[in-house]
Amino acid sequence: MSEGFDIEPFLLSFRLAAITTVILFAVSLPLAWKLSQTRSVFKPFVEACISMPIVLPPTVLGFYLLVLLSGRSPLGMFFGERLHIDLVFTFEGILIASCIYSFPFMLQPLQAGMEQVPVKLLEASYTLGKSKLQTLLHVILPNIKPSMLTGLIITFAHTVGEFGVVLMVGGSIQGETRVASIAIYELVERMEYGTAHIYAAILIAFSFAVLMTVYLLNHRYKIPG
Amino acid sequence: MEKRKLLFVFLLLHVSFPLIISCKKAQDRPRQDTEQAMLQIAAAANLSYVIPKLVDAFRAKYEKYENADIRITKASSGSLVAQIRNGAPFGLFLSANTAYPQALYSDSLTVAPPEIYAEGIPVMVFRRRIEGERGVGSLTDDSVEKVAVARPELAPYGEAALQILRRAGVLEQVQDKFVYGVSVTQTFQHATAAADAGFIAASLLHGEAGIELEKADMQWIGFPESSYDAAVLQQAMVLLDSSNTAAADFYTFMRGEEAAEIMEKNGYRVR
Repeated sequence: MSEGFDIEPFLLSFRLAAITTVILFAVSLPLAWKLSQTRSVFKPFVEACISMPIVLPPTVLGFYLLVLLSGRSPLGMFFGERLHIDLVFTFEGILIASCIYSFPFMLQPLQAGMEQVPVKLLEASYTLGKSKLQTLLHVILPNIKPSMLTGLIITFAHTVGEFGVVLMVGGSIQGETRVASIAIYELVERMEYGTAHIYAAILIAFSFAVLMTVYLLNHRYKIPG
Repeated sequence: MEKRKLLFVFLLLHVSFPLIISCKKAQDRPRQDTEQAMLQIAAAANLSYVIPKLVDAFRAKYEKYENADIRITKASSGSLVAQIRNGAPFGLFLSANTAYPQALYSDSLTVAPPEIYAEGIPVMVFRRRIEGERGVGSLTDDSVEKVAVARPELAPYGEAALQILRRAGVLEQVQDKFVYGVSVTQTFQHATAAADAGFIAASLLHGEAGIELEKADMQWIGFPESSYDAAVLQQAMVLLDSSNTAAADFYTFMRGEEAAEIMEKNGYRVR
């Protein structure tokens, strides 16, 4: 570990963040839509459940996920024996953990955005014979672009910066689960502040570049009015 | 514009929450000038279970500290060093190794050179279904998939584990099975929750941790002293504040026989 600079943790971090963001966007879109439209008594219950991961300290959440996903739990056993996928100390494991941890960061902005869309617009769309799916794709999504962007960006950034959950579930294995945030933490712990500064600067610079690009693109393509 | 506002509030909440928390902490920070004796000790995480016992014995021995305000900060030694370097108000630092106190001493941040107060003892815990009692050689079996160790560069118990495996000639076969914790406590959690075996501190066989091991139905074995370099597990302390008599008294207490006895009862060696 004391060898020079290593790009691997960064690649892992951004791969983890990118896949997490894509999965959560796909899962959150229909759920946020349902939640924004429903008046069910279960709505507050579901909303509260999804927010729970933010309440627990990350390492504690990580510990529970470790217990839940380990080969000794029914869930872990099912994945291990039937699908031959280990859910702890693997990339798949930290991917699942990241998805759970970052879920509210994607869902909440999407749902909030959808709830802001005027009912008149939806009614007009339905009256014109558009289906629910068509309405979602052609009416809702163009109207909630800022919320969508917020969800995507915060989920991505949050996953890059995540550390406690990933460390607990992943076990800091080189090339598999040792992401940039863990690498930096370990450097600081070893008092190698010089190298830590370089790693931190790269993480910040790259993340800044990604976010900046997204904001710029959003600005350029913004529909006037 | 509503959406912008929403986004703003969302971000603001996200940013301000830790700030609010840290402000609160700053207010809570005890002032040095309070009349009552006040002692803040920075203790390595591996002392979590034994430190309350040490403090109790300290209070029992010195009547004047019976009701004194003694606060313990438990964290990894590396984080504690970073805090000390940045002005944390600790009177005494009990480290998990000798290097960190030595580094503080070299930078003139301590009152005196580091002093060794205890030596850790490594043990291996394992699940009943693997033949751990055969020793570390059993870890090469195919039935053993994951072995929890503390990152050797960060935690001395990790370094000791590497030495034990290297001297037994199985390091190469076992190291692909490693999962790393940043501290021996995290390695303990990895071991009890998900791994097949793990290298932890004998101090974690006692108290709450011991109960957890039993619940996880894990067994353990120890190692002869010749199987690792005992020096890596030496734990040193340094006095940080010369004006704090409580800190100096605790420092003296740690060098005495009562403290040694408590340490030995809880999985440490005192020479």
